[in-house]
Amino acid sequence: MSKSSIFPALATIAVLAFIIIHSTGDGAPLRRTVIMMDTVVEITVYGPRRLTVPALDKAVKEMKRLAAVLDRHSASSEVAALNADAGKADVKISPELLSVVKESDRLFRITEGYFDPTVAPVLDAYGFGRGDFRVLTDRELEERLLPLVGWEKFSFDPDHSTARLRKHGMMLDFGGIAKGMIVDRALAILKKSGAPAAIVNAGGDLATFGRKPSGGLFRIGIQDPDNASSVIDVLEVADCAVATSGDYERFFEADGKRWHHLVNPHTGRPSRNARSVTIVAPCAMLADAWATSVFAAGARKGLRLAEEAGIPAMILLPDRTRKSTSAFTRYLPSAETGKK
Amino acid sequence: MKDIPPPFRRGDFFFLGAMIGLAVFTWWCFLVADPGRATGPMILVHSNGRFGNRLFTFTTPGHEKRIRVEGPLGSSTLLIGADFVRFLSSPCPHKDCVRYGRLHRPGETAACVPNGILVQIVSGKENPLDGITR
Repeated sequence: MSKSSIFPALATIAVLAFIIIHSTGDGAPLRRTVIMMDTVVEITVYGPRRLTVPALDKAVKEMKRLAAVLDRHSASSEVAALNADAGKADVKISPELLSVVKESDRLFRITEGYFDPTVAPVLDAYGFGRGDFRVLTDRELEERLLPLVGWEKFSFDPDHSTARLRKHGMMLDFGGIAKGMIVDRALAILKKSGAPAAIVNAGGDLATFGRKPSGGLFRIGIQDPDNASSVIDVLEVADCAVATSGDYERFFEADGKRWHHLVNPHTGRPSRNARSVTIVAPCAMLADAWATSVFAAGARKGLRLAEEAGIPAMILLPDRTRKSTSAFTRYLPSAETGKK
Repeated sequence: MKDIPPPFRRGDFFFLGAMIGLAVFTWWCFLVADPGRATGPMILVHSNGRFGNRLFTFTTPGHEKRIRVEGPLGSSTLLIGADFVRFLSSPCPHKDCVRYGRLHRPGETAACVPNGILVQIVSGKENPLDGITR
């Protein structure tokens, strides 16, 4: 190349680089919002588009596939097949369902039975799912429904990948854990793509990895139960998951009371001494399941269980005061409160 | 002695000018293609039905407009004001979307899940929160 053409060539390269950098939008994160699993799923991934676009497509596809396996309300799901065969023979289950079953088994034991996916018949009887809400009497709970609840009446064989509900009428609902598991799978795909950071939020159950390009932590607002467009606190997190369970998401009102879906599996009644429970955990599956369990156990017992398991938890009480485990406060940058 | 040619010839300036023009044009195109970035917040409405994805602007102060969005269950109505958007009505059983109230800030999302309708305020500006746990 002659000396006379070096400068124009360099200038051309600089201009082309400018065009490429700005046209690919690599400076801004890639965001996608989709409706699935009966909720809004928001995925934000940082990094070059050549990595993030295919990874995001793959993550959404995998989320839809897993949702179809684990959603008991979908007639073609594995969980629906397992429920349909309750009281009959063993059913072959996929590795994905087996991993959820194994984790549920472990959580059932360490939460003293407050995490129990067999509570589904009670939820159905209240009308959650179909929308035909009604208050259950003590008698129907004790005589008809609670005998169908109990993880110990469910058996599984990890070596042969089979499972069985031992009593006719029993049902599993992995709603308290499946969404978290699906979020984790999506995040793993994004991480494997080489993207430096991402956040996957499925209706409030969210997980993050990496740090934002600014080096900052992810700022997560905890929704105010009394005002959907406000937050009660802001958490700063990285490489972990956050989930919240509250009495304001799925409920009906009768007899002057709020009847929500966070039912104590031991009594069949909604737990009433908390408004919301927020959990920070290493993965969304744990955060999701612990949020459900701590709420169901109630403020005092729930906080004790979380403390013993080393799970950071914060409970918003009906009088709007807060109680938290010792590990939770490190995620609070300040006593920040305000609108979203 | 051999003459050293100048670093730039006249034609090179024309070429460089054209390249800079192309760069500015491309940049402008992408700003327009990403309206939130160029024009401030806008409202993105998505429906699983025939409506698809559409962008709406906020109204001028003192004015409101209603948008009918068809979803699998029927028509949902959105109310758009100068600085907000909200679900006004929807054929869903629980009306969670209507109860959610107004969306004001970029990144805020409301959805009528049963009717497959999603409303989001989009903008190139950074949202102070990366997510909401609920």
